[in-house]
Amino acid sequence: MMKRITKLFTILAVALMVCVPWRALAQNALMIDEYGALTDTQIAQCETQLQQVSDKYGVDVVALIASDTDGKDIVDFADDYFDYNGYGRGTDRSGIILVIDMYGREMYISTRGLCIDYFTDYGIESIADEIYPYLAGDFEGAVSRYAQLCDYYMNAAITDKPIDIYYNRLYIHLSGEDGKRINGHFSVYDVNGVHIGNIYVDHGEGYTDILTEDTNAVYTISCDDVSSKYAKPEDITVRGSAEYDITMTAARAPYDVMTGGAVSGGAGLIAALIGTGIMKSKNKSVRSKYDADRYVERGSFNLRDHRDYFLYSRTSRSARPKETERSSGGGGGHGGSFSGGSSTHTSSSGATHGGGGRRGF
Amino acid sequence: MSDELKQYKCPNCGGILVFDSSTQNLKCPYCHSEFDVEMMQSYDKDVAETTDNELSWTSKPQGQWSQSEAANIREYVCKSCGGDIITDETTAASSCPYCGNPVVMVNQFKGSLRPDKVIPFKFSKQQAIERYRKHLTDKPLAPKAFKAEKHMQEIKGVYVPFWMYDADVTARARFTATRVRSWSDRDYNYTETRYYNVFRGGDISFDNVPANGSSKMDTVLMESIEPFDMKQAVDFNMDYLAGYFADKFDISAEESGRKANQRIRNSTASAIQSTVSGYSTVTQAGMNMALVNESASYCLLPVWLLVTTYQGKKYYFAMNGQTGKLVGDLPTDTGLFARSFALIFAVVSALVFVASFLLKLF
Ligand SMILES: [Zn+2]
Ligand SMILES: [Zn+2]
Repeated sequence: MMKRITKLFTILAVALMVCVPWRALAQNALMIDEYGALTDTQIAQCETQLQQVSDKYGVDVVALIASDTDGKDIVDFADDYFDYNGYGRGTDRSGIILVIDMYGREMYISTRGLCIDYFTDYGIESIADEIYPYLAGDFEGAVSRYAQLCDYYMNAAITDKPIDIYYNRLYIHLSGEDGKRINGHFSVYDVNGVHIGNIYVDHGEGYTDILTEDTNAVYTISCDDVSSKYAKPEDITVRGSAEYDITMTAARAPYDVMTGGAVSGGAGLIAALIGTGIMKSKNKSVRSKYDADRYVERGSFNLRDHRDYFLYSRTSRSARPKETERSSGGGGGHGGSFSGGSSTHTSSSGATHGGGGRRGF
Repeated sequence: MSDELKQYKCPNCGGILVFDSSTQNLKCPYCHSEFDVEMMQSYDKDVAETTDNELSWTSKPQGQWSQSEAANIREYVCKSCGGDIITDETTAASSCPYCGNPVVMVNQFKGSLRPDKVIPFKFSKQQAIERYRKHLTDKPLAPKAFKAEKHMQEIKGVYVPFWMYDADVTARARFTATRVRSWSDRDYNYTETRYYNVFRGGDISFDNVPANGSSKMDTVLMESIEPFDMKQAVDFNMDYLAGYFADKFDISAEESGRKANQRIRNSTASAIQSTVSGYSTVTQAGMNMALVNESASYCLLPVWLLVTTYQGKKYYFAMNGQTGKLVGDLPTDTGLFARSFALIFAVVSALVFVASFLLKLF
């Protein structure tokens, strides 16, 4: 009887082992120091901090200080370490791992599952930028900062949207009062008055993309120059991405007496010449007769003979004017190499990871 | 085959064409045009038949004064301008209708051709003055001298001698016509001009084309008061001269015919050219005309004449005594001209200046 019960427990245990991820039972550490960079106390503190963040968001936040990467590329090493050691929570095994390779002196952050979306490329680069200075010796500081930043980034992603790089597109439609599309140069300033971009308006259209984390940033668009026919438009303050229609009013200079006088005099002269010309023409009534049409006997014209035939032809050719290629509107440019969002790659286990890192510390 | 020995000139460039045995065509060695032999024969004939020519009038009026008529005619001459006028014995002439100077009667009327026809005056002297006055109302630059009432009384009725030409005209004309066609490919615009020979032959009749027969009257002035309606012309009779003067004709039919010929020629050419259609351009290349049944008659036409001397120059006003049509060039009064010019200049300049200032145009 006991034997049978023991056997049953064994089967149940095996079944549980199979069904439940073994990590749940094994309780893998989130702070692993293979190299021995930290003291036991430091490891315990880091473990607690990582555990708290992990539990708060339901993902594994892992930090590994590795002696080397088993000869692998650090990207593959990080992905594999995460995948094969059973990290990640939930069905998509969400989590993030920071790998510090003490041999290759490289660091890399790999993400999986929900964390791919929580940490955008820009986000990972920003975290890497923040941690990098600590790697000079303060590994506990590095891990601690890592845990804080993971908390901050995931909080932002859940309560609002992932921290990422965005573009604010400032678009200008420029036309005269008469509806004519005109050219112009504009400068863009941020809220502190720092010049951060230019807009060239070509044939009435132009824009620039401003790289920003703040999609509600405030900008001032100031006109540098337009055709001298038009008055300079006032500065425009815009928020975020904005499309702006600017109608230019004609510049009004004071009345030019010299030009006005000359033109008026010219008009008077022409009018006087025409007027007296008409008066003079009234004095003329004697005109020579060119033909004798009036004396043609009515209906007397009779066509007796007619023949038309082709003689020869001449063909000339002239070169067609070459159509000049017209450059078309638009302007502006991108400030960085980021395109926003999270890029991914596939690890050796077949899982999808996001990530990014730094070389040489 | 002897016809092939004839030399043909290229219609395009005038070069002598040569026979090309391979194509059996005539070819121009200069411009490389190619022509059908039969076509060139026809073309050559058309060119020969349409050489420009002068018309000549062989018919001349023959009328002679009878002895009784000649006895009733009084002839006056003007020592000042050489004017030579006749009237009947009941009418006394005192001043020359051409220059206003006194005239003297010559002892014996020297014979000349007797008019065939006369159109009698239909407008009286008073009506003529009225028309003249009206004519001057909208002539702001006319000098005051022309508007003087006393001067208007000087208007005189004169029978002016005209030659009247009647003829049926036979004409052959040739035109060079073109049709133009254009097209383009990627690199060039092409224009092809096709040249055609257009031959036309026709008849047209002219009735009573008038030509001035008096050297004292200005030809252009006389053309300006045309037309006269010859249906109202009657056979000449001495009675029509009573109260009026008649100028003796002193331009020969040949001489005055020249102008009539030109007008007949122009009318004939345009009548023929109106039958040429369907081409881009039509240029007359030659026209040969011949007169058939031609006749020239001598006719007196009624003209009211006023001569005004202004600043040493004579100005003539003539009114058609049959239709009332009045013409005459007026000189421009320099004072009036300057005043008008200055006024228009000042008013328009000021208006433009004020308007442009208010509208801020400059
Ligand atoms: Zn030729
Ligand atoms: Zn005289």
